Amino acid sequence: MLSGDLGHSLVSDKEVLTLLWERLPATMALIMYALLISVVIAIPLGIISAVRHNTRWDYGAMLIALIGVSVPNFWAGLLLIMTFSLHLGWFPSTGYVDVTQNLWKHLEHLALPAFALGFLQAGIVTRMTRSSMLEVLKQDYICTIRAKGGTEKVVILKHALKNSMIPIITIIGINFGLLLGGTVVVETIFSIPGIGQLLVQSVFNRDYPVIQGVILCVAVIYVLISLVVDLLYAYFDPKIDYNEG
Amino acid sequence: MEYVEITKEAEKKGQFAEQMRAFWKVFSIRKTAVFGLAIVCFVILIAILAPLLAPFDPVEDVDYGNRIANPSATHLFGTDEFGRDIFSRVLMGAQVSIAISVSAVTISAAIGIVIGLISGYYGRWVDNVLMRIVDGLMSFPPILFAIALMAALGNNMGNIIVALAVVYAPLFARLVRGTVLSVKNKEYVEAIQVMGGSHIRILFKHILPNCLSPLLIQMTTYFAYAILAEASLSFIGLGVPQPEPSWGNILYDGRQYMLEAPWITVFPGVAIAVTVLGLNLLGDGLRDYLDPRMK
Repeated sequence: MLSGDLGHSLVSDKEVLTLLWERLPATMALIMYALLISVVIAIPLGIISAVRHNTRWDYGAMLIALIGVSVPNFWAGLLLIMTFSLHLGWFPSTGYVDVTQNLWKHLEHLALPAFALGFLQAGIVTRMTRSSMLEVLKQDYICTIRAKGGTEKVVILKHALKNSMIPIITIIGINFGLLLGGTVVVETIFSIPGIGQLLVQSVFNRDYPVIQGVILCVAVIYVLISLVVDLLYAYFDPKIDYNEG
Repeated sequence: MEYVEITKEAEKKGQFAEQMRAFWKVFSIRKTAVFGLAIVCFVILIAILAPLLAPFDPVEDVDYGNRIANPSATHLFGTDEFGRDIFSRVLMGAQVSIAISVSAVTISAAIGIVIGLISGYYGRWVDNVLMRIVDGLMSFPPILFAIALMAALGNNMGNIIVALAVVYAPLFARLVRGTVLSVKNKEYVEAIQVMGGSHIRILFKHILPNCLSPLLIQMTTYFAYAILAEASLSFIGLGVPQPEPSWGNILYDGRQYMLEAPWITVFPGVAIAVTVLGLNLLGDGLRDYLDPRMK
């Protein structure tokens, strides 16, 4: 295993590493879009919620976040298929097209699964953005910037948001595992040929070398993401210096 | 002697009632937390009374003449592809899902408490060994780890509980260890050590109570996660085996009939979402009460 040989599939006799390489792009694309959707929804919602604290805006944003946290992603996926594929016919219900073949079709196929997967993450990140922003907005230096005539846009986007990013990035990193786990179910519902679907098929086929390979691959990705999160800390908070003894 | 014991007992009961009153006074200020508590109590009550409330047997009452029937007065949530009553299946599914989640979280908390207490209290190589094992287990995303365990163990109710307990135990161990580290060097612990208190007594009687607040909050959160995890496992066919109903496998059944019978998919999903919502609201309320810094 240490030499990179993960063995052969008991079903297809293909190398496990080859199977992983074939399946990884679809999973990574799905995760990246889900992450993008969650950040695009969560950061503005969290900011609005913190800036308009204890108003209807705050309650509305928190309600959306709470629904996001409570709705299981596979159920969200099924509801999205029912509404946008079967009734409205706007998006395909299953399948996957590689980005190199047709970009538009690729996005069309991944829109619903990415939303189903990203909505949960959006709920978690919104809550964290709100609490982190509230904490930062109470700090003295925010008052100083306001007293010096800094506009609200500068205060919120340049100072408060940047200083709120550490807990937000931490929660995104921690919940990357949720996204990776979520892909298993979402790929199964939407028939996306990613490593999640490969894992489920391998479990039913009792294809242990593949199961082992997928779990190892996911663990490596998970650990690497934790490393990236650690490195991002230093970018958002220059006081953190990894070179210091 | 007996009189003294009875008086002490009464005093303790009085204190407990007083504490509960104080708790409720603060907790009930947050209406959403009370709403969450009401949802959780309602779902647990439904789960306990499910066999009495279910109008049909969720497994045996098969009616092929009434397949995929719309919701009606007889079948409140409609029927599935075998003509089984969805309402009865959702009620019994509540029992199965809640039983699995409660058992898994309780077992994982028990294992996590013991590991966390030992690791934090004894420190040195014991801490190193235990925490590296915990780190190893935590390097797998929870649901994938549970799937791998289910693949090895086979799918039945007992194995789901074991798998979820193994997945969540390291998270509890980390939490408890952290609290133990912050408490073990306090003067009162040293005082008990000097007075000759045994390690077991110090750990369970004096240090453990300090871990209970974060543990309670964490248990509520993981209870919600366990319900979602069980439903996910059952949904992909690795959880509760058919024909036993669980919210996840009812959803799995409904997947093939989404266009002609959306009720099979909608009702169990609503049940999961409402339960998890209740637990999240309750967890937030408890966090605000027990750990005001997190507010």
